Amino acid sequence: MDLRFNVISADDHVQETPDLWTQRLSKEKWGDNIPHVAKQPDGSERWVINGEVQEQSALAATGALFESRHHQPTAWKDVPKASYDPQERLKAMDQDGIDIQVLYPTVCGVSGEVLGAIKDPALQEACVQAYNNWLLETWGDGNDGRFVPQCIVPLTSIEAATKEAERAVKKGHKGVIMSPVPWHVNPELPHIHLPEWDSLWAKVRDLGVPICWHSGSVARSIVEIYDKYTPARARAFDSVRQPLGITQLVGMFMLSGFGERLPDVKVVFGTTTLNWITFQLELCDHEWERSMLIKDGVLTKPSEVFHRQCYVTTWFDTAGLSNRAYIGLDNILWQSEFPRETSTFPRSAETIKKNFEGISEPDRGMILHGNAGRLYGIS
Amino acid sequence: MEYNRIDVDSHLQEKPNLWTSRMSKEKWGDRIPQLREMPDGSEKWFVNEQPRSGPAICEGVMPDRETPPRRWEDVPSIIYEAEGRMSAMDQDHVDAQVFYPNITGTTGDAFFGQEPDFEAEACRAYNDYQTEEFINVNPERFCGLTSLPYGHGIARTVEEAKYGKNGGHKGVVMMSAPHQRGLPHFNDRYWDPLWKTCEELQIPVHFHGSGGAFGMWVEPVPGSSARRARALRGSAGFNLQAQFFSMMLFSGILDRYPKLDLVAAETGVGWVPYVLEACDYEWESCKLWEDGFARKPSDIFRTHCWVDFWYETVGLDYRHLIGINHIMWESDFPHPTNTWPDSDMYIERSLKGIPENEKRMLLVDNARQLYKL
Repeated sequence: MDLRFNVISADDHVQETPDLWTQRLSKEKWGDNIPHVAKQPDGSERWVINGEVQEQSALAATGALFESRHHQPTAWKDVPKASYDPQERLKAMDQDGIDIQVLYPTVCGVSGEVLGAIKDPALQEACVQAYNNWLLETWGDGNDGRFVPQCIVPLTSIEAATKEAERAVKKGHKGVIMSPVPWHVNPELPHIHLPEWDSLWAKVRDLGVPICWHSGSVARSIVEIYDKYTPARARAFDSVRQPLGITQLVGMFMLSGFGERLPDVKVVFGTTTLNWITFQLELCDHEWERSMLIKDGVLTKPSEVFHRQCYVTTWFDTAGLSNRAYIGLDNILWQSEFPRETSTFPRSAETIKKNFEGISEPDRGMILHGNAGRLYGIS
Repeated sequence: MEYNRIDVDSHLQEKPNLWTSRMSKEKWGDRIPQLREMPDGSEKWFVNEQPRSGPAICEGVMPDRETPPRRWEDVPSIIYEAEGRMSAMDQDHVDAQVFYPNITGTTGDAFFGQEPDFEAEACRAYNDYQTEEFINVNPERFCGLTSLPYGHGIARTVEEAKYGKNGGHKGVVMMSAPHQRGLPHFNDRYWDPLWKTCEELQIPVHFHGSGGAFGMWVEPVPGSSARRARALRGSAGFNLQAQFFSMMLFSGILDRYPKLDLVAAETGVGWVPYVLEACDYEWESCKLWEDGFARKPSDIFRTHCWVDFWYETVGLDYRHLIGINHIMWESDFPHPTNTWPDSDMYIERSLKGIPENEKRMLLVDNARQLYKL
């Protein structure tokens, strides 16, 4: 397709609608266990999933669409339409200078980890399927190809995850989103770098799509927000801490031997910034050399694994961009993180202009749309 | 200064008689930290009768750079004898070393959670050990950092900081996430007396690696070798340090104590641009000055925070963004990641192409200023 703005945003979020699951799952069979929005004693509306009232992004994560970024709507009628209505979103994209958005979930967990925690395996699998179907129905064809849908997978078993990834991609999904720490969500699952998972990675590779691990989905590695912060300070600090929660997984990927076993699998680490990536690469290369990991069968230098297989993203950050060649020009995607608080919306065009000043046209083209276009097969 | 090189993060090995010679046998009996022989012939440190670790963490100075010592007699004396240590420093062209603990936790919090008296006395013994066996031998070359007790409340914590200063120590070392261990959050006013004292006495507050917040680590792949597990720790270290320092920038502490210095040890420098840009960006887009957060976070960082490097090259591309006068050099002697005895080579690689006056700041002048050497 012809790009008007020459910008593909490789990581944005859809807002799931209150009827998404209630409309698609049998009330008779699952009753109130179906994810739904319910009014709470304090008058606010919140998502109730697996019988649990959600605290984080309790109803919607749409800070970028409000004047005060920390504002969290407490009634569905106040949730801005651009977060859940594709036609409204397209208008926002036109306003912001974005051609295409690659989609991640919100209520499901940014890596699908919230649905992954649903105890009843049959219910969980049905919820995941419902999301994946809804995404294609609502955000798929019919929007001029301006949305790239990506599926999530159940964390009930490796087989179930593999099966759903295959079903969803065959129906039209372009990427497979998953928790980078599935064994934290379901203790019965193995560590993500054990070879038990290789059948899933191989399937995803054969389907020709990337695996996507979004930051903010490793709860354990994110420091608690001080409980006496004002809402504005708390939301700002939340945006600062989230991208750091995934550093260990990026390092682990490079040092795990994954790359030795599966050199063709493509991996996207979403919402990272580039600013700590240069350090992560230096750190892993140093430790690989100094700790002699070659004796452990890690034969490839970590940064080589990264250059061959990984993608990371940039939005507000500039320091890492200045070292783009070291990170790998082919490995960088631009993203707006619409419509979360940290998003560059509605100043994406302005931010890009400022951040890419002095960067050559070819480099700029690769980062802003070329790499994402190739990764997602957008011609 | 003979070599113009100050190593701001090394680890001091605790000696077998450190506590047994300084704590009352009558009062504490076998609870005193001590080395004990295990059934397999190896030796382990025991604290309060509980096993803790092998005799020393010093793979970086072992012949194969890999195998930890099994028994005390395998531990190289260059890590625990003042004279031996100075000769190891000479070999690596290091004038002075700043000491972090070794087997008592790199943030010196190994005794926290024990009976408060026990914790306080064990910390005191370690602090005396630094003073008596190192600083008193050569105050120009050995810089102690005071380990702090927490269990008796903030007054006792402050008292220990003052005690260390009187013993010639150059700062205090702290755990990074006290709120995860039943203590008040660092942003709580509870800690103000400590910040105030450290500001008044001009002793920087040091945070090391992942700061004892081990619950925030993601487990390595089951069956990982020790060397692989170790290699992975670096990613945990800088991730947590970056979050903790962001938390400090958001806390208001550095507005209340405008002369307080904070040091991030053994986490490198390359992550700092993340903290600076992310905090500024969110500060601006959330208009946090309307929230009483007046100073731009990056300005706060550049005024109060110090970081250090040991192997980085690209990280130093950011030296002016971070603040060239707040970056120092470290070796991490004698840990596995360390540059000893090849520091010349590592430094040459890291500082290639950097002007001489800047090299001097990074290797010696900044540390000299911070530690008043």
